[in-house]
Amino acid sequence: MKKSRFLNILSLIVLLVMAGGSAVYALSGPDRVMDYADLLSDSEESSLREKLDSISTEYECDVVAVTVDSMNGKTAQDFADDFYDFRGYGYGSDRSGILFLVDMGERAWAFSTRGDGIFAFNDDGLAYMEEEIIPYLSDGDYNGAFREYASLCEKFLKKAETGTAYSASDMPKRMLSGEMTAILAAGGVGLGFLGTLLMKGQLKSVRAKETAADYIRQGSFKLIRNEDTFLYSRVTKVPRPKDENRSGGGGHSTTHRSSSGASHGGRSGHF
Amino acid sequence: MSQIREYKCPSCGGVLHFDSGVQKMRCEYCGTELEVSALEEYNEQLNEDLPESINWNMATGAEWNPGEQSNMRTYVCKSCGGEIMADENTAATSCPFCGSPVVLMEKVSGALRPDVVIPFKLDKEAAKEAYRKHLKGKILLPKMFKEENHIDEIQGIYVPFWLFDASTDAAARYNGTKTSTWQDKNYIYTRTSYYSIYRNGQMQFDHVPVDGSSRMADDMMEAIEPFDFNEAVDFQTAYLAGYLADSYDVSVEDSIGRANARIRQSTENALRSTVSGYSTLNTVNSSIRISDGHSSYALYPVWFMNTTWKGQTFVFAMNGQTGKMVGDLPADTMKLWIWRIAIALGSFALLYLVVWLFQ
Repeated sequence: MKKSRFLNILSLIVLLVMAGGSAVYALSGPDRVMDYADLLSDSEESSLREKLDSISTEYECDVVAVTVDSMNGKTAQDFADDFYDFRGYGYGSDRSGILFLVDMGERAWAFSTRGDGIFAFNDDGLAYMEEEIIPYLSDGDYNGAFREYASLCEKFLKKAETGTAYSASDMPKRMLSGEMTAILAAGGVGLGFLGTLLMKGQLKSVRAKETAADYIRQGSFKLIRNEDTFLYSRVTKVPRPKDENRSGGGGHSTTHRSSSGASHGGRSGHF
Repeated sequence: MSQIREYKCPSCGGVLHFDSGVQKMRCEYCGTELEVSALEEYNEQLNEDLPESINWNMATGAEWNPGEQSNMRTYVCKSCGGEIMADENTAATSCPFCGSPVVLMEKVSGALRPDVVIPFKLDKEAAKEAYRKHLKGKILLPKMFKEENHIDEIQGIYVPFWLFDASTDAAARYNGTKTSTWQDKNYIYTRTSYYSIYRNGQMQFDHVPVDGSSRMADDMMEAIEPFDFNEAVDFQTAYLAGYLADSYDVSVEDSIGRANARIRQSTENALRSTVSGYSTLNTVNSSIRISDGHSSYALYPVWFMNTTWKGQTFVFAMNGQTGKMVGDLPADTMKLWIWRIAIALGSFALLYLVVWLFQ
């Protein structure tokens, strides 16, 4: 009968869509924003998720954000590594990605990198990210911290695509420190005064003459006697500073093994 | 016969002994070693430091020729006491020093007759033009100043000068050092060599001018220098026609000090310029002998102008022979601050950008 055939086709389509949907769900991997400590509002969370998903797909490197209230006695680095490994994050066979963990229980944080993430986020890079992100945590601006995290990850991954990652000699540009700004401001003021000093100089023309240079009879100068007598000399020596080992072009990434035996890069601390 | 003589170390002042081991003079206090010949030369230089002597021949300025004085008039300003000499055919209507009208008339007497005069080469129009040019391009000059000025009140005045000729003989002694550096694997070495430098030279000066009028600011009269003496002529009263002349009120004796100072400075500079190749150089001793000093009395041409603005008087002077114009101008305070702030902001922005780029 037509009616039952229609229903059959309809239910088949529904099943296929559901299967396809879950397949799609399976392909997209685990949720990249896990806010167990509930530090973000719903809108902040979904906006962050959208951003991290887009970065991860574009650069084929999982960018993950996790907040928890307790780490069950583990260190932040171990917890971050394990969370990453056991939840199944990571692109490709190397399972490339980076995870940022914030624990409210001990006020600890950690970065954990794996695969290409170790290359893109080396020791210098993670130190830079710490400097830029952790102050937000200390201020209690958790949304700000994660937005900065997303923004920096995008920058670093984009840079890593060129074949070289950011490192100590080559960092993303950021606003100059308060100290530097103050020095430059003082410099600006100094130049301002100098400039007007020169302009005021234009107005002044009356000055006494120091010498009678204009009245020397041409060619009348005669040197009667000149002696340059060497008396003695002294030699002093200063030890040369030893050049410190610099890693030169390219940064270095320290790695360690997680409990599952995988190789991770990382950095952790408190706020 | 040998004399027992103590030699002092040029580095620390301690006593030097001849060290037969190294065949050199050696200071027992600081360990410095010198060649015997170097020490001899050094001591000779020490003894050469000349005492100063300055001789001037003051014969200047003849008496007036008969009849000349009767053609000259002296005007005295009731307001500021300024004295102006003028040919009898020239009417002085206002005092160039303070702007008020002149009053009394007296015959010239007692004053010396000038030896030479440099006649006016540039006229009133040239002076006005020079004044306009002087105001151009001055960024901080208040706009109103350019508009409210008394450009017609320009007066040509012959300013009295004492001219000094001299021969100088100067000596100077310097301490100098030369440095060289080199390095090996572990150290950077610096060798500092110490020298005693002696110079003795002679030179001649002709017609060094010193302002003989207390009413004309000395620095202003020096600022419009130089005057070219080649265009000077023997004085005739005819040159004064149409112009005013100031008579001197500073004696030649009182003017010598200024001439000395400038001559001395020039001579020291000339000696110093013959010393080169040292990383540091400082003068230990210098002395100058001035001889064949000779002075004369001259009138030099100057165009003068006064302007009053916001209660302040501004004086401008132009060299009537060369056209050089001087005169300090006021600064507009508002413009000053606007520029200051603008440059400060602009350079801050630029510096920030440059530092940011080169992070």
